[in-house]
Amino acid sequence: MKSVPRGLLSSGLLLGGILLVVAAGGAAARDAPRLAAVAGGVVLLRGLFLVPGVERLFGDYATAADLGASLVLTLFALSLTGGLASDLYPVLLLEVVLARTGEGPAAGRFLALAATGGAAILAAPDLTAGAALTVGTALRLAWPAAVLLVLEAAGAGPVPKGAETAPPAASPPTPASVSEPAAPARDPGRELLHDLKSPLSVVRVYADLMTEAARRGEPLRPEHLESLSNEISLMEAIVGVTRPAAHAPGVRPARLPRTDLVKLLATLTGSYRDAHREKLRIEFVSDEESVIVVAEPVAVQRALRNVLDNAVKYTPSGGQIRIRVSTVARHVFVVVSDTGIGMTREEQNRAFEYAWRSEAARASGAEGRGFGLALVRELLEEQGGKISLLSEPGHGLEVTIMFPVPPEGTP
Amino acid sequence: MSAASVFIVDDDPGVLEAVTAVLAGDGHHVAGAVDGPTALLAVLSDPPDLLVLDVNMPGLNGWELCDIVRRQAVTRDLPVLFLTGRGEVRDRITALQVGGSDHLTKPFRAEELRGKVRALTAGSRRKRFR
Repeated sequence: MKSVPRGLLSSGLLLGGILLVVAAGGAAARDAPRLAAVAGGVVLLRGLFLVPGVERLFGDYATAADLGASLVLTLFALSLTGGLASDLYPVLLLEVVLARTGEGPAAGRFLALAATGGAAILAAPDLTAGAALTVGTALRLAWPAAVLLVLEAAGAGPVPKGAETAPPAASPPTPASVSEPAAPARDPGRELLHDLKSPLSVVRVYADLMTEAARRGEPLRPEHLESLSNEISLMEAIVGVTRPAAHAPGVRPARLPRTDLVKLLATLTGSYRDAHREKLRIEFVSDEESVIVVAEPVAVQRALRNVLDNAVKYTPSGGQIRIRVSTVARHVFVVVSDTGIGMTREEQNRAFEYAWRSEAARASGAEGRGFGLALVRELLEEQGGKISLLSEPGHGLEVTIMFPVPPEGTP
Repeated sequence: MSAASVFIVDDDPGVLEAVTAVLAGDGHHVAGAVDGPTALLAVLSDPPDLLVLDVNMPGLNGWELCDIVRRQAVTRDLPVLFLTGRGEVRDRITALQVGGSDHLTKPFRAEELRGKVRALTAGSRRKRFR
């Protein structure tokens, strides 16, 4: 199919199909000019699509435009020659077959089917007006419909093995199937594996880059090493592995990990604000320029990203997300409040369960696997933090994260 | 190898950074976004030579984004590489149906990514995987 221009191929097929119908029906000599006019019109139209630029003008919709124009031109030819509208049937059937086997989009196939339906309506007066329903006419009307039914039935079947390398022969993606990637039955193990694929990709890529640099005799780039370390930490967090102690047992570490929450949240807010500028207002407020807690920055960043991802995901367009950091009575509080769909009291109680999602979250259409808040709590508790929720359905969610202020003299 | 402009969309910033590290290291101009709507605006206003798309993203998923991009005159022939953890046959078929040019399943190797990018940016015409 590659070497033959689509317009030429379909013209040939159409012409062949029309001639076949003429031959099979033993068309009388008086029908010949009419059928020739139809065939000529169609071929002329198809020929148009061979003109450089014309097909490009229609792009993926060449098939749809082609069909519509074929229909109009064929009708015109019929009106000139006084033919029966039911003569359109074989032509349209071939159009449908071409649209189904070619690269035409769903719209092309839909139009083909709609055009066939239209032809059937056009054919009705032929039958009623002259009571001219002979066996021959009935068959002419019935056989394309039967073939269409068979085609549709074949198209509804399962996709054959190896179809990944073939053009789509059936079941074009409906808007629903495109907007909602197929969700298999929930399987936490499988979902966990899926969650690991992105960080694993990142680790793989940095390992490749470092290997290549080593082969070239170039020094390792610190940012690559740092990214690699971050992703390994992320994978450890996802699979629930506690980071091994970096010091010998019984030996106090020289310095505990520290995270500046103000600096971290300012950075995160900036990137989320940039990413969702059109949809949401995201603001960050802090009374202090720096708030230090004793916690692994990577873990805290991962937890906060998850909280922000949820806020973004479940807050409708035009909404607001507010992030506040404050220190009260030896505790640091990070409060992330949104104007999203919120949760009921019962949903708040279950929100930290693995692989659980609220009704509203599922109904919102946002994708998610229900690991977010469970992972956040695990990450935060490992770092000495706590998390709680406050919400009313439809009135947003307020996530409060609390860390103890490190005592003075903490290394 | 000639430098190309590549736009990558993935809601995982780690993947954005890793792909950028590989492709920028090869001299390509790389830009990216973590969500579909932002990517769509950027790609339509300044079409790159190649669009690299994840599938699972909040707001607008990769399949929807590709479908929209294919309908726009300025990006109709833009090669689209799906870079996703969804590697099952039906996912690959959906990617094909929405107009994807090629598919790379996570986890992937740097050299695989380079190879796909090289192939997809070599010609100006859109290629489909078959």
